Amino acid sequence: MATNTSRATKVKDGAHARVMGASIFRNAVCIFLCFLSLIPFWIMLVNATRSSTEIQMAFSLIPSTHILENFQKLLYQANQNVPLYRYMVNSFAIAGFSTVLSVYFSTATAYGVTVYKFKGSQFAWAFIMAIMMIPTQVSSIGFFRFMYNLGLSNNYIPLIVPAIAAPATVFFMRQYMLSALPLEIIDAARIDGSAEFKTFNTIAVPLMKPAVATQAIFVFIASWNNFYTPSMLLSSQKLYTLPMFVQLMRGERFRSDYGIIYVGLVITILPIFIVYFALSKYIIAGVALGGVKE
Amino acid sequence: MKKRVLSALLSVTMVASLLAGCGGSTTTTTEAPAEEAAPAAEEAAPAEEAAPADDAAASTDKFYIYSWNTELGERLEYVYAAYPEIKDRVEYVNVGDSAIYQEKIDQLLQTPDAPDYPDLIAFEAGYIMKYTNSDYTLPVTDCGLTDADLSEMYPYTIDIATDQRDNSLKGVSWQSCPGSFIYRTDLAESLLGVKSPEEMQAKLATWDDFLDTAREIKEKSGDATRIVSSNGDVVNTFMSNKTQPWVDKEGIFHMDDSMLQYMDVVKTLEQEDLTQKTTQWSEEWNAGPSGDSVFGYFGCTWFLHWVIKSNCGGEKVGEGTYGLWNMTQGPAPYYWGGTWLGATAGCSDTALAGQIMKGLCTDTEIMTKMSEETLDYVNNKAAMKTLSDAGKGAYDFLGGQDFISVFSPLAEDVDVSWMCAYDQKVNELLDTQVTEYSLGNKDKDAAVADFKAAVAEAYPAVTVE
Amino acid sequence: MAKPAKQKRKTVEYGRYGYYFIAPFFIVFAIFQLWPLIYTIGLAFCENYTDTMFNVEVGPVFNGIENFKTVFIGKDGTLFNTYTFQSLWNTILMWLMNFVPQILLALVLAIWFTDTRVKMKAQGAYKIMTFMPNIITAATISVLFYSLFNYPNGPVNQFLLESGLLSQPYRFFQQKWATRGIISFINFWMWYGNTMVVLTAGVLGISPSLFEAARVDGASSFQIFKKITLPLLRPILLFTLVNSAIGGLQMFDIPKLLTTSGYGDPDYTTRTITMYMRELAFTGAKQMGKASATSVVLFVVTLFFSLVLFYIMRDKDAIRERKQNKAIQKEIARKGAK
Repeated sequence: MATNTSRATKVKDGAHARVMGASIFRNAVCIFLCFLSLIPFWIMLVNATRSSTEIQMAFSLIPSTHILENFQKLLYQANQNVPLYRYMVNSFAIAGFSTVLSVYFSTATAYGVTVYKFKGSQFAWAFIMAIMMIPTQVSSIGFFRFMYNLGLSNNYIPLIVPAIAAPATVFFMRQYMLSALPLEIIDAARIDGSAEFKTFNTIAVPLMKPAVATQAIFVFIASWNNFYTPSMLLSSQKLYTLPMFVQLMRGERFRSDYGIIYVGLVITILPIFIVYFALSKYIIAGVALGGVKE
Repeated sequence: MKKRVLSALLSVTMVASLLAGCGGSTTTTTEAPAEEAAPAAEEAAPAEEAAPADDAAASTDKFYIYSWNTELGERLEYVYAAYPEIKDRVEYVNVGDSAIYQEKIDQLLQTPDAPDYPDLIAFEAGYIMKYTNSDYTLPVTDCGLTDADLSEMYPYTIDIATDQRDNSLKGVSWQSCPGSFIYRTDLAESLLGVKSPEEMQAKLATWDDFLDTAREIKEKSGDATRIVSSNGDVVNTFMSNKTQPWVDKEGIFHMDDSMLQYMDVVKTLEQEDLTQKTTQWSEEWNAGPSGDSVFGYFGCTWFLHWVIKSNCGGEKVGEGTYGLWNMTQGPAPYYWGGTWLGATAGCSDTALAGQIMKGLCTDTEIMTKMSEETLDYVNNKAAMKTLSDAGKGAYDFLGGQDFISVFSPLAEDVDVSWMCAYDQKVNELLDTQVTEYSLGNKDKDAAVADFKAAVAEAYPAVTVE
Repeated sequence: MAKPAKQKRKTVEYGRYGYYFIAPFFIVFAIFQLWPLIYTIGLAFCENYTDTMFNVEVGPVFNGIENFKTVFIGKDGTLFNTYTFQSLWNTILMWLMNFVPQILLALVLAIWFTDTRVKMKAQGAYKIMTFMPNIITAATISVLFYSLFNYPNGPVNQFLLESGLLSQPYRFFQQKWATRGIISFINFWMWYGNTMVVLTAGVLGISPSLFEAARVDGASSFQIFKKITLPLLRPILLFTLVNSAIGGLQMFDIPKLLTTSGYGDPDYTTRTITMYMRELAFTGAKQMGKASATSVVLFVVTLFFSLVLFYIMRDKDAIRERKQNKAIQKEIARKGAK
């Protein structure tokens, strides 16, 4: 009897040790991966504190003392034409409106093809999936030329309004809806006499909150970081976005001041950083739920 | 409740985005009032009243000048200083990226109705002929420039911008960019025993001499110093000395013998480890002038100031390598870069275009001032002579060497008969194969064959052999 | 019991609202994207390029399938021996090189994070951090990685020299496998966090009682993984695969921005098909016709890949179940009607 219990504890101890070992190993791997993910952010921050000469001379992971100097130079460079805050406001306006429009109308589109059965709904869905697979690199030329011809260049409309037709966002919203939006709730609302659009706005959208948050951050990041489309469409420096401004600094390849460029990059990423951390809880949950149903 | 908030938010969004959009599209008239309130609004009002009269309307429209960096914009300040009234009309568009710049103006030139259609555009040497040899640009005579205006320009800057179909001049430049070999005097003396630019030139007279000197520098410095930083540093000199353009007027492609020599020189540099093997424009390449690892650079007028001087690690004699440099011609004369300015076919105000081109590229007084303050080697012989005579050429960065008197004869001699509209792309295609050949991944025949195949692929209308 | 039938009737009645909900999407698409799309597809069947000599646009003139011939058949007459297909192979190769390790690592992490025996308390933090590379622009990432692997003084080279693994610095960006490896690694590094989060959710969706039962029956961890986790994870794997295939085939930013020339150094071995399309359309003779044909080919390839994935990953059990359900519902409806 006694030997039996001791063997049992031994087995238990052994299992416990194995669990401990596995736990240490797994956490170590994860910490290493996190470290890999964070390195570029660290390099960027460190370089923002270094002078251009220091950056050229050698790579370093230890911050230097030039952050204020770099930032003042950046402000000076920016203020020669357009104040720095103006670029930020522009970026916020474009990214903010694109995000709201994209998320709201994508949810509506997904709602339309998921909740209602109408003639052509299958085709509409297949069409949206197909649009997702179309490479846009070449048709973008047609898009730019079309916008110039419509007199819409140097204008925010072609940067904001097309966000309404975002097939990838619709795809994600539909996946999420399939798992998180029971049709019974909608039926119940109808019995209560709720109008269809009211049902959508007051019942469906709130239920979609995690998916909305997730897509909001993705659309915002994509729009905020977009450099090519605004560069092709905007001509007035007053309308330029933050990444375009950083490129202006970078474009001076003969006189590049790397310190300024890195400060610019840090300033560009800072707002996204804040939004990301504020929404990270939803993103982790939202991505997960969007993927659950096939 | 929630619904109301949401719909309110939504309508605000729509209205705001429309407003933002409208603000953008009519930048020409509404942006300024919004910005500067009352005075600007007063200005805008008469403009609208005057709209029916064509001339008056034209003179209030924004005048768009496109370029890819701030350089032209900074030089335009000299023109504004002379003619302050034009400053407010000019919208200087800095695209910020050379590749996107070309994509953007290519699209815009095809849509003359676009609100921000360019009036003046800047060209780099690598692709200028694509535009000057086309109907997208206007002859400068249409903008009021006369032959007399062009008399002080270096001939090559005119040759480059001349439409090869009818010999009309389509663009003008304010700078002249002859090249030289810029080397470290202290290293020349300690490693090679060379004490003057003339002695240095003797050691670089031909490409064979250049390679011998490269070997000597590597050996004597005990591998610490190399003659140039990257293998690509020699490219401009070779390109400027082709005996014929890549593509002739009949659309036939030619591989010049000098290009085969170029491939061999790069291969020798690579295989014998004669350069630092960096990449042009990379951080490490830029860092070269501040240390002792690089003996010299092939560089032109602007290169001297903006690459070597700004990266030398000091701002006066005694700091970094400041004052330890000299210039000499090198194995062959060449020129590198430069920016031209041309009016577009749909230019809204040719008189203003002419005024700006004259002010920037022909006005001796303005250009003298510009050269003195920015150290640009301007495209105006009279201006450069004035400065040289006034002793402004002696340059402490070059240990007192007179950079004007070195560049002047070089600028007169530049030959550009080898240029064509295809240069930028073809040079890029060649570069890829030269790298493969120099690394020993391909033999010469294979590299040349792959190069020709790539040219044929990029240009269906060109006959390749 | 009559509920399903009622629900069906209702949705039919409200069907027209479906049009209102999807209208904004299709209207905006029609205004901004449809015309460029039709234009592009049309150009695929036209001769259209710019004669660089005097910058004159040739065409567009209808020329049938000439563009497709040059896309498929090389100058030597060999099928697929063209730049288009070389760049397509590069793309597929670099996609597989990043996707296979990505999904494997993501699977391992997903299993660790959902393991009830070895709990990982910090997993929320791990998820957030491994997800973060997604928020920086590709341009910034490329610059940082370029300087990491720089020759001769980049930190990776310094490390390899100091640790004695190399006797002289290595030029990563002049070796095709090194460059492809770095590009694949960057893509792997950017996206595995995303894939892991999705897969974790998938594993969490599997009923824990299945794992319990298997363990009681004495199944090994590997058996559980193979017989339970993997089959039940199928729908999510499909989602991940399709998404990744679409993204992977359109890979552009990193290979474009990382290499010096931007044309797929060394010797076009890292040129992806979208890079090649842009090169055709924007540089040289601006061959819009051929670029459009290439883009049509890429669309067909993407569609083909997606359909194959849908077919391989289709859930046979679910289809059978759905059919049975339908039959039962019909039966109920018939009975209810009576």
